[in-house]
Amino acid sequence: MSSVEPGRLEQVRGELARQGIAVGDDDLAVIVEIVEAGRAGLDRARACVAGGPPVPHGFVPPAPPAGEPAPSGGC
Amino acid sequence: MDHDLAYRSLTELGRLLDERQVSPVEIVRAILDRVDRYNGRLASYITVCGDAALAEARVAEREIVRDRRRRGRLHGLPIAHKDVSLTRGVRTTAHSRCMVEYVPDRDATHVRRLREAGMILLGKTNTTEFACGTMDLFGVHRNPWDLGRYAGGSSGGSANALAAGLAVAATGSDTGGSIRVPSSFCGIVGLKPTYGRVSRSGLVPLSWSMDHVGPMARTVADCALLLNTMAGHDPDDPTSVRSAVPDFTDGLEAGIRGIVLGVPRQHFYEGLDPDVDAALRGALRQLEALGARLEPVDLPLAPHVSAPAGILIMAEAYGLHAADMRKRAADYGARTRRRILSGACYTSGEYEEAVRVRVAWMRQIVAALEGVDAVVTPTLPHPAFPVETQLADPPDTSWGTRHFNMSGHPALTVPCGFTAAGLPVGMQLAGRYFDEASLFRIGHAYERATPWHTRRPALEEAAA
Repeated sequence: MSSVEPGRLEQVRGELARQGIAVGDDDLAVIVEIVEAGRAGLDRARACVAGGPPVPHGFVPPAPPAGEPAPSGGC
Repeated sequence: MDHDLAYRSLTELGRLLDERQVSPVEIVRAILDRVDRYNGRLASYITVCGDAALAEARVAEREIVRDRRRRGRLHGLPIAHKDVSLTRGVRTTAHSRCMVEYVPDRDATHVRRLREAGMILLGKTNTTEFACGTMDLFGVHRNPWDLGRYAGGSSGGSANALAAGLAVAATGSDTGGSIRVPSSFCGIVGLKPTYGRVSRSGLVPLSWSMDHVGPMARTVADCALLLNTMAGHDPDDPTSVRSAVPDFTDGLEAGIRGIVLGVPRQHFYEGLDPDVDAALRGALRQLEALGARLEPVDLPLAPHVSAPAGILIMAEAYGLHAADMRKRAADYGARTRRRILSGACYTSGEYEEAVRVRVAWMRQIVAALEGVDAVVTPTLPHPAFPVETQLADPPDTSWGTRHFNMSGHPALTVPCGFTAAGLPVGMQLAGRYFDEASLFRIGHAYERATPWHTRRPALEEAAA
């Protein structure tokens, strides 16, 4: 937990409290560790995407291939 | 008791039923006998439907043997469902104190479809809590190849039951690799279908945009057979797609001459356990020998997909669990509670950034798959690890699997070897959207040319 900035734990505790959730110290330490690791990973991914072509907003699930025959109705 | 029956494939058992060489009751009894013997050590099942399964088997026996009316290729065959799939009249716990007494009044859509096809519910298999956390209530599912090792999460009960002959077919759910990881650790076959291919209605959800439901079995053909019935549009799941469902067992025997397989340059072949590396290299040589052509593919985002995927999963999980976290957080296991609460801490801007990484990754893998029929990777970089490691500080097992939850592409894992210590190694095949058929075709050709799926763990020796 040495990489966690001073005050970060209380900041996260406060955010969770604002959402109506009280957490103990053990939970808080692990939660902050998970979040910090997630943010560091997101930073690396963001840097990798930054050099590429523009990415539109929004996740669109895959669509079936064009020209596919009518659905069989599943089972 | 005929323990060999419990290790037959669905396809073989179906033929035996058609020829009336065996009855559904004999099949169910053979498996329940093994469940009685080994479930205590493997923790495969949370709930065993012994009497009900035998009653269903007797009904099927009358239809098939006496009336000579077999309704389809799955009629009279047993199945186990992961305990996050709702089962009418049968407790569904998600391995959580929050749901421990919950008895649904409906089936999940995939459960209903398999039931209507005549399959017999054998029981509900073990999972990590809400498919993402602790295993405090019903024990840790153990690996039949080494009982001191973990079966993998979260569909580990389905996977270890299949590997140990405690099931002949099963279902699982997969949000970051939860079908493919335990399938690889336990040496069986598991498919995460295309997003939208199989309805999630009636699945205890974790992450709306990453959850998938899929089949697990000991052979590729059996997975194809199960998907035939599980797939298809469902009005109860708005994300399920109106798409034709082919017979996935057609074309299994077509071979793979001329198939082009992509081998990623980045991430997937880096830092592998030496035995995993050797197994994958051997598998690639075998695929070439069968007529496939290998092509390197570039996936520069691959090393960076896991963290944004984790943000999306936990943010969406928190959205589902927020109300219960306010009311009864202490009912969650510590690891589950902490992971889900991490999702409360990301900003909407960070969620949106993670979505943008997701879309960039989707573009990258879609482009790669324009030039190849499928991508081949290890399912995991290492074999199953000790149970103590899972309990203390588990590694990120979704190292090579979350990628295809992020993109929604179908991904199949098949056994491709064993380590020197006798632990299974899995190979992952990821294909184009809605092209599960090609994955089955490649996996089946590889399976037929290799002995890995025929090996059995030495449970009797372990018992002695």
